[in-house]
Amino acid sequence: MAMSTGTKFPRNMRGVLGGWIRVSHANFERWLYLAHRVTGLVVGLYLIAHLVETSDIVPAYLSGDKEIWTNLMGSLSNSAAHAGLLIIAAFAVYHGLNGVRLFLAASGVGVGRPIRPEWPYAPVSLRSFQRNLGWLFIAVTLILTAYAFYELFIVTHFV
Amino acid sequence: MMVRESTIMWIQYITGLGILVLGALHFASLTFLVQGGYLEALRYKIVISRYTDPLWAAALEAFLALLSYHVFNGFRIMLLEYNQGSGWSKAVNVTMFLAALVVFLYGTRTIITFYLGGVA
Repeated sequence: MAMSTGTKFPRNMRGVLGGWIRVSHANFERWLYLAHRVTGLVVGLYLIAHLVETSDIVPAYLSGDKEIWTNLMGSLSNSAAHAGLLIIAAFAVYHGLNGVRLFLAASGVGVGRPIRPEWPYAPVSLRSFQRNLGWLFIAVTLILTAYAFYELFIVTHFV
Repeated sequence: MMVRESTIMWIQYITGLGILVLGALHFASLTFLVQGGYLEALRYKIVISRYTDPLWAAALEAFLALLSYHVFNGFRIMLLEYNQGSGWSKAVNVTMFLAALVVFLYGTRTIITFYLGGVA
């Protein structure tokens, strides 16, 4: 890594494209990391849009004109918007559950005891409770996403 | 005021756990807690009843506060990974702090409207 002049930090020459998204030979945890970043970014940006959207309740309440709110919700009640919400729900659930896994890892839970490096040299942390937790949380994400699909598409259109 | 990065990261985890709990409550309030499900939960009357209930409003405000910290600290971490340098770090830290503050105040305006008679 090249040192940038005038600073004490090495400059990151890889950036996002060469860093996060460089997944050739990536292991399972690396994919979880990439997914954590992407889902966090998308859900974070959605938060801003959601706050702008829900702020429409203010003029509706102050003016007593509930049509302001009803019209907005009507314009967002379509398959494209619901598909977007489904993605947000899936991303939010994944990010939250994977965050719990990271919290446990940072606390030293489920990473295994250090051992002498022996063939096949896989770190204990990659073949223990933590890895199983990753798969478990992916399964829970899929189940809750299926429930969100039921609420957004089945209940909305057929029930 | 200098805060250690390790402390900031622990707050990130704690806010994340809080968001998980309040997010689940938010998800429930939009689905199975309302008879009729998602579409019914978005009706004006139901939405107003949530905002005017002090407990729901407090939960929303806490959710907003935790999210404002967690999201913008997350953006800050990504931006600091993307590039390094003391000038860049300071610019990112200040920008993300101000952005979090603006988003928090903007969201708070919606919630407190129902208690202060409106903030235009």
